[in-house]
Amino acid sequence: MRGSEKFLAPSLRHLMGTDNFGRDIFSRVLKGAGSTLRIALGTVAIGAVLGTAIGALTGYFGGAVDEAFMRLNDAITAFPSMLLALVFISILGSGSLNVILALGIVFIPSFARVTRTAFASLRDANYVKSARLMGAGSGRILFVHMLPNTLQVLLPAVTIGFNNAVLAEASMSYLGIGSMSSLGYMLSDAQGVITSAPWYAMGTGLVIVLLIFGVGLIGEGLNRGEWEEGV
Amino acid sequence: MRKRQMNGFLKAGLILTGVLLAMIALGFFLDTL
Repeated sequence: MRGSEKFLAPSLRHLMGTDNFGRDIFSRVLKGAGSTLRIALGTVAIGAVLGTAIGALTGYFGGAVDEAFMRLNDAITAFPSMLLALVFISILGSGSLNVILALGIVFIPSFARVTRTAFASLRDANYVKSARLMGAGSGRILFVHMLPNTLQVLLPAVTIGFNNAVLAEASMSYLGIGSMSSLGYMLSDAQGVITSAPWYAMGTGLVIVLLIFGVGLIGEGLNRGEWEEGV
Repeated sequence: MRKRQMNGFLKAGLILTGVLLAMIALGFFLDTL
């Protein structure tokens, strides 16, 4: 960081140029991508684990509990997710841990819905009936027999959820709520100098795009390909 | 035996994500120096 090196264009010395304080943007992007990644992974972990558990239980057992949870799901989905996350942040307070919690809660319904559909369609499959006849308990049937067979639906859903979480985190920090070192905050910083130093926004944006594109490709690869062969 | 084969999408995604993760890890490593 040098005061004399403000807004330098990309070069071999500074791969993505420098910002308004003469800081190397590439280093900042590496650090920012790390914190964005941490928050996105935390968000997806909360959403996927709780969403899968709720979706599995309601999809398998059905009945009144299923109806109640799905209506609750509808109610939560009806709110714009960003707005809901902002409400949670205003209740919990800011900070990256609270952003993970808020976004995680907002992500639960989408996972629950996907999981519920997968489990409901397998509820009457022959191997589930056989397991039931053999005396297997519900927990065993749900998580040992059925869960591995829903992975082909759940894994692509996790990758899509991860991408949404990266975007949501970037939007939150763009608004000044999330982590101060994350990519969204850098983007809002870069916005003011987009005409004089376009590399600031471009470098930051490029990393977000590549991160989402890479995980999107993994999701697409999981969605087709491997699962269709030899089953 | 079930044939497991990675398709192009999966391979490209893993390489791209792997490179990014390696760069992020390098960033953390250099940060601790």
